[in-house]
Amino acid sequence: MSLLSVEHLESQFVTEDGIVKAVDDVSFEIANNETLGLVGESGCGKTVLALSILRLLSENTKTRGIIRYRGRDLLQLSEDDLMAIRGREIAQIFQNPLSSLNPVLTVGFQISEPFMLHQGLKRKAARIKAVEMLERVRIPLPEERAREYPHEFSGGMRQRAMIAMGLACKPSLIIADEPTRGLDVTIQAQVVELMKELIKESCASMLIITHDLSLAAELCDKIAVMYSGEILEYAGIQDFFRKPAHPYSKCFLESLPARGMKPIRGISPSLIDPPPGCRFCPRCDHAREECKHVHPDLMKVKEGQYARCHIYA
Amino acid sequence: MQKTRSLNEFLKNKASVMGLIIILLLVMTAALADYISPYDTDKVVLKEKLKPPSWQHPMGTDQLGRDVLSRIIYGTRTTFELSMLVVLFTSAFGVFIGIIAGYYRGIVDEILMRLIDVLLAFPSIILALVIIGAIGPGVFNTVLAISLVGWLFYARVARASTLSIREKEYVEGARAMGCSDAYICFFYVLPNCLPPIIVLMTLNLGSVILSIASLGYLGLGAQPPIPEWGTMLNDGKEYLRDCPWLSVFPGLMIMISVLAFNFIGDGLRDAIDPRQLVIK
Repeated sequence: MSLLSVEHLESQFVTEDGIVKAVDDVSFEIANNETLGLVGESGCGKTVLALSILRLLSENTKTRGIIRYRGRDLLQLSEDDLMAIRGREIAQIFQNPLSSLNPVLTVGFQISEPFMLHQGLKRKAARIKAVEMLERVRIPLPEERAREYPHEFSGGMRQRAMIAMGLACKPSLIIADEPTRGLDVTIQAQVVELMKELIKESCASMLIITHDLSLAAELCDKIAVMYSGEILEYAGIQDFFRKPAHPYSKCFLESLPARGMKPIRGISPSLIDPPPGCRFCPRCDHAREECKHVHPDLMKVKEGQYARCHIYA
Repeated sequence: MQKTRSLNEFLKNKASVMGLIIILLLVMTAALADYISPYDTDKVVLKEKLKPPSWQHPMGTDQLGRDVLSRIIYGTRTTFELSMLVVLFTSAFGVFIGIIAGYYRGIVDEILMRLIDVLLAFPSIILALVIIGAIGPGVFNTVLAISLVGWLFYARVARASTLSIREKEYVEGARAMGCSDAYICFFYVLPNCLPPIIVLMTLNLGSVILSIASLGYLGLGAQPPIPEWGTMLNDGKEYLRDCPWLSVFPGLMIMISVLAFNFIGDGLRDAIDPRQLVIK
């Protein structure tokens, strides 16, 4: 059985201009010990999807569907039950390490928080654990560093501290939203390396959200491509990079610097009023007449690979 | 780093340093009143009444022959005790209300803020007068009356900071970690909204001293024989033409302490620049 299964998830915001369907009928599964990469360009709804899972979106968002975690639907749980799951069973590592730490508390205190909250440890015991965590994420002189404030940490160290916080209670699922955003390339490589090791050590499942395909290639077992609020392709990492099925995936891969840095023409459609047929149709080189009118379903390309495209009908 | 920079910035401001020194002197005066005051504040020596300043009585004596200097010294104690009490009361309550309004928003926010708007529509001293009129004059009632109107500004500032802080990623992170609302308010929102509150507290101390003195002057604050600057001003006004020292010295003390607190407040504001700290 899968650890997390998301079925027909929809997240919508009501704005003055209309209803923004940031996540539109998304379904996917994450098995135990599996890492799923959710990739897509900016504004396609990746982050909203991540926040929907732990119900961290603001009150004016409507979320529908089923998010089944170990058989329980997270969308139906009470706030108290959810609080016990957040951080203990499902941890979230946020994008932008520069602003995701509380500037007025020491890093050590912040890492000891999950221990105090979820394992009932006293401050001192939690502190010792926090120092251990800092050591695990390779922060030199963890004892001294724990006493420092976030502004005394470099960007890479802050991100590692964030990872330490996420891993503190040995969660079964980690949601990492753009874990390398705002870091320069060399530090990115270090963080990726570290995450790889930690994933292996902790046997946790992971949902990595990124627009960086090379990061996904390093870390993930499976990949889901998101576009305009829906999933366009779902495939194993090998299949995806060797033979992407959806035209958008192909374009996405070709836009990588290593593969020609070819931009995709046009802009992504509005989330308020998406095209009636295939959402990628206006930008697709293979568009046919039916693409303009008929919304395609996710179709099986081969075992373990699905694409939302009429080519595979 | 941040701390030392702010401290240096503060020390560079001459007016603030002077304010700080004055306040420290006044606080020491208040604390050591029992040792440095030359006479008993209540000792009535009618033979000595209305004497101008001399070596014996550096600030002269009042209409009952009491030493003005001693009364000023004890008045410092009364004023500082009362104003600190008011500021602590009001800031604690105001920040509490402000954080609740800013954190929960919606209907809670709306009700609290409209209530504050209504209270702010009255001139604060008038409202304090009404309250004292209802509950009677006295030291404790003065504190109560000024506090009842004083928390409004703290609530507004705390709410404004909270609104911006609650959208910060580290607050979202805390929620993702399973922190409760109360925990987030106390460990995340409160410390982050303190810098502007501290500045407000220092600036507010000055105006609270002024309010206490005003109520005293109107005869609604500390009742005789408690030595209090405003009350002393009131006592002196009948003799203003012949014996100005009765009013001049308490007036000077009020002016100096209010100015000193304002200097400190200004310096603190420039030094920690709350805008920069809050919106980071």
